[in-house]
Amino acid sequence: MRKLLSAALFRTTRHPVFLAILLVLPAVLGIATGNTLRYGVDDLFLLPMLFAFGAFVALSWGREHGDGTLRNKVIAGYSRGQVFFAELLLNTALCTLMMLIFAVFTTVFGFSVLGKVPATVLLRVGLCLLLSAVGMGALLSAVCCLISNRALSAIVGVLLVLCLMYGATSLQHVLEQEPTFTMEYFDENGEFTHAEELENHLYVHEPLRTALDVANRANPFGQLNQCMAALSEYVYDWGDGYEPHYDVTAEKAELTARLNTLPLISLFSTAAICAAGWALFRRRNLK
Amino acid sequence: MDYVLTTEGLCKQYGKSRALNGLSMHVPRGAIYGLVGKNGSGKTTLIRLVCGLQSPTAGSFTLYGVGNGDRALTGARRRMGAVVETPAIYMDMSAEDNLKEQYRILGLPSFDSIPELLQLVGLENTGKKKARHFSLGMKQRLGIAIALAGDPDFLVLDEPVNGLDPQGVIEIRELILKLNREHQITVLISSHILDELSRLATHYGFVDAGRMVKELSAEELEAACRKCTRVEVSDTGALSRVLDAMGLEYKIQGARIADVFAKPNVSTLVTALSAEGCELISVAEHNESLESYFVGLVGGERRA
Repeated sequence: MRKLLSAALFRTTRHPVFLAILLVLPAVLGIATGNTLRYGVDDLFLLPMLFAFGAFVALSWGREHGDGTLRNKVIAGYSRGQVFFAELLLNTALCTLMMLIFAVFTTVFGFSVLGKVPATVLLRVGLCLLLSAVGMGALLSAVCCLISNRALSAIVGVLLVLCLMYGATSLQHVLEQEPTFTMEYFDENGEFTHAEELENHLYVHEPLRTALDVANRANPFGQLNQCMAALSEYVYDWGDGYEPHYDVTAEKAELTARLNTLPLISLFSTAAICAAGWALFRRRNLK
Repeated sequence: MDYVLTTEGLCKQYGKSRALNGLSMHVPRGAIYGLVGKNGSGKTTLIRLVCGLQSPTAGSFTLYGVGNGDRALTGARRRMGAVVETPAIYMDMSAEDNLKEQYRILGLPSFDSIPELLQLVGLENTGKKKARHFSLGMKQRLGIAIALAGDPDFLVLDEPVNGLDPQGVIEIRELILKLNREHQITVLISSHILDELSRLATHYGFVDAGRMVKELSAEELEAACRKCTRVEVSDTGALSRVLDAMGLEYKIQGARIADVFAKPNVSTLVTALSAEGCELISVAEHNESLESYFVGLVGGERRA
């Protein structure tokens, strides 16, 4: 497999402009994120980078299928598993490298804010970010390896990123619902009369709640969201005279605690994605 | 006989459609084995199975004696090279870079033999030109060069002359003959262009509807091909009437030519034709072509 990786690396480095875009993009996004950290962390900055992940992985597999060069590897005596994992490793390595560049630039340019965040939290967020990039690369690779049309592969790659984003955002929204909400009543003069605690029909009960939570945390974009949410609690500047309407300390503790299990879930979901991708790829009829 | 490739009862099903239906074949070492069949007869599917691109639904094959269920098969595949349908090349790379890429994949320690390989396939002067700017023939030859990287002793070529101009066809034919004769490479070549195949093959396998209809050597084919008498006359209408009256089997091949599947008495024929006002121009012994033999075996159009 080392030989396959060496060949794949050679191919990738043959397009210096494309590669430069892939490596400069996360740096630019990192600088933008670092400069705006004091207002919280916006995951929208990550979106262009995730699209770049999708485009790179899709085009990488699309070219192998389109030019028929996958055949050369199989005929040369490599197993389907070796071909699949070599390509997957290259894709995930590049996605992880992009995320690393993003994290480094964000840290450098946002150091005045990030310097206040405990180092243990920063390290956990960093680890989770990298693992989510690995998961994203693996998922894109596992899906795109099954599509033999280059254009379709690129479309699916980008759509998959969008689906992950909308999926994570929707799940996050559902999971953030409180079991009840307070309805306040006022008289004809606009005077408060009483308040009533009502059941929130949007609240999801167990066991579905746990299932959705696991799904959200298994989704690489969901992992990014949680990293950003945890970091936001530490870096957001409320400004003079403003107080948050919730217990910031408790929220910080809860979000940070979730980062403890996130790497495990991320690793497990990535392993499952790789296994599923390999199982499908080895059965796939190659042209 | 020593076989490079054998298949036994090979089947491949795509949904409800059966591309291969119990195909058995035997490719002897050192042969140029011509796989003949109509479009959709299962030639490419067979090659894909042998190359490991797809798995058989049923049946088995051996490559250098290693069965398809054996883990050693991937090792055996290192001894073969293949061009399946279209050449598998990186279009954004030059011929040399494509070969370097394949050398890396194969783990070959040095690129020293690349110029020699490029010369063998006639691409030594392509320089930095990218493969996407190559002609079809050049792409095909580059595909063959990639298949030859790693010095295989079994080459599988699927429709290698499809879409090539006459010059390209000649170049590929000469290359295949050179590889077989000078480098002792066994070649499995599938084609439906029978005239071209008859100039190359030492062995034939006739495939139809996913089955092997007949396997035979070029010598056996020559013997099996029906001999006939080719008659050139001024009026084939008159010839038809005469041959019908004589009760001989024949086939009109053109406005002035007919093949008679018998040895007619020339004096009798001349007399009878004269009576019809027809002139006999020439009479020659003629062997039935591969095309006619194929059509006789499986039926079909001019191009199998």
